[in-house]
Amino acid sequence: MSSRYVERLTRVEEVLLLKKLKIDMKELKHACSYGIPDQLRPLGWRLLLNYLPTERAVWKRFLETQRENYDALVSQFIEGNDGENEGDHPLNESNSSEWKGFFDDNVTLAQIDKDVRRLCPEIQFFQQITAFPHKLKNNVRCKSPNDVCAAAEVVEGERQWQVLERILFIYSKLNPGVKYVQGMNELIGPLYFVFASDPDVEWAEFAEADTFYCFQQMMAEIKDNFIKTLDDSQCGIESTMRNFHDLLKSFDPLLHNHLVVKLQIQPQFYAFRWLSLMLSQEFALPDVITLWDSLFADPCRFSLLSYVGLAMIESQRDFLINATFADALRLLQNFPEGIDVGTLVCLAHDIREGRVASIKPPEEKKNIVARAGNLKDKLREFAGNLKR
Amino acid sequence: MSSAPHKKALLKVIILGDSGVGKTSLMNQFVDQRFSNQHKVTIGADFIMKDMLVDGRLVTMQIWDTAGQERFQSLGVAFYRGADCCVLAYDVTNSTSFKNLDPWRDEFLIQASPRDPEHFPFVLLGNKVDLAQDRAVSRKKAEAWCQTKTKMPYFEVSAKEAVNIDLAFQTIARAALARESQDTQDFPDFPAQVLLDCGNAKSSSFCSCQ
Repeated sequence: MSSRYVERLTRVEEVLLLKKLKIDMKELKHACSYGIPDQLRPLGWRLLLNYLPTERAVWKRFLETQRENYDALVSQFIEGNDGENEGDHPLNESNSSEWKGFFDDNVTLAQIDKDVRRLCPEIQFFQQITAFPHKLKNNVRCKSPNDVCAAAEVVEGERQWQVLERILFIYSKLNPGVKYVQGMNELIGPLYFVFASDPDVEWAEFAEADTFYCFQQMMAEIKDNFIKTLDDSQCGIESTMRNFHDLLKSFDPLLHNHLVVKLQIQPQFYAFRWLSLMLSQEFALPDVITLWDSLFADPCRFSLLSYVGLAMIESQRDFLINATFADALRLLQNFPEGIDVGTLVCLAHDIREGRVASIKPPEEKKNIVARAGNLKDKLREFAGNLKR
Repeated sequence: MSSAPHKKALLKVIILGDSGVGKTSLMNQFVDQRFSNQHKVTIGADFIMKDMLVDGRLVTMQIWDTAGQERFQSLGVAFYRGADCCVLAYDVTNSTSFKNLDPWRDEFLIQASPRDPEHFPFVLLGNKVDLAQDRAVSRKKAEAWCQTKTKMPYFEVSAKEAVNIDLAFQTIARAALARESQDTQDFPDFPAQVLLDCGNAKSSSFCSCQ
């Protein structure tokens, strides 16, 4: 165990000490900004996402109430009301028709179903049987022979992805303005993985309810990215992507010039996925989790995300600056494995806080080369430090 | 002698269709001769290149595999522009994915706005023919639809069992090649390079035009 890790563990532990009746969020964010030790992460994320209140004394009551409320949502949306509505029939198109709602739900469900089944295929976790199936467990399944629904599988117990299916369906019902958008499956995956793998069984048991609330908290901050009608607005994803390329331009105009002006690489080609999914598809799950520690601990959420993206690009600068369109895009869409996310987070912080000078184009070209050289040295130094 | 026999053509192809019809699998089968139902949801679009021989000529296919959910259509314009051929894909066991072909085709034509949209090359792929027992759209029905779209070529394929994939992509490449050699000014609205750099209100003071 590296000394750096122990130091970090101690710092986070101090903030979360039992004797601290009220958690100092500022201190917590500061302590977590370069990562949270595994055993403290489930609690840390619940706090950082503003789900758990800061007063320790109210936790027990609060969690009991929230988890009961979640059960009520499950019975409302999933157990369903089988009440017969006279005069209603399957071909009734009016919005008040229960059948109309039923068919709309099936479309949403079929979409969620397709996506949660293929979440993180490289690991076994989401295919496994959960130790804590929902007690009301009438699993979300389409009740009609609708062609978009796969036949219900006969399995003993409930798989982890089925839990996610239920959470996402409830989220879509409660948020009709956003509903379910592809990619939400990728965002909920790491949250649930962290909560469900909690070694403390008393917490793991309620991973489902807590994931639902934490997902809702997270979505409250980033849902604009998922709303099509906001795409062109100030808060939509198009503007986030534009700002990202502006950031690249102001930090490294030469590289921006090569990638964006010369090769015409648009942010839609790669940064859409990076930014809207908070890099969850770019790295393996353990790395995504480490990365999210820092993103969640960001006092100015989620501005660090763009800087991590910039750090990713800068870490590949040598290759990208001379790459062809195809080679550059291939790299940006398939970020190389084995890059330490800790290094990237450090670089992201350093760029944001001005500890790494931007590579401004000065009057003379040789200066540019010198500055680029400086950055390269800096990057090597970081890489060296973190591998130690 | 053909014009520029030594120049390798770069053909841009875009695959559209509902989520889950197997667009990514079709592309993977074509490029890597592999099938896996274990791939992630496509968000935005994935990009892949492959060299192939078409009628003795070496061409590079630049294939864009797009996200299937309707939400992502507004991003489409970034991917659609400059396409030489558009592949529409549906799942023969899912009638909704067949019904949505018209909207996908319309959306492409609106967003890409090619010259002469009536003759822009499309190719239709009906995937998952290995699931014969679950078939929901007949070959006849699909062929009839293609007839109404200036005889769009149609292939029944299976990404899982590698049925007709090479044949389909040969046709796609040929259609793209024919289009590409026809007119380089296919997309009149494609912005000139210089505009991208200087038209941006937020450009920094280092913009070369200032």
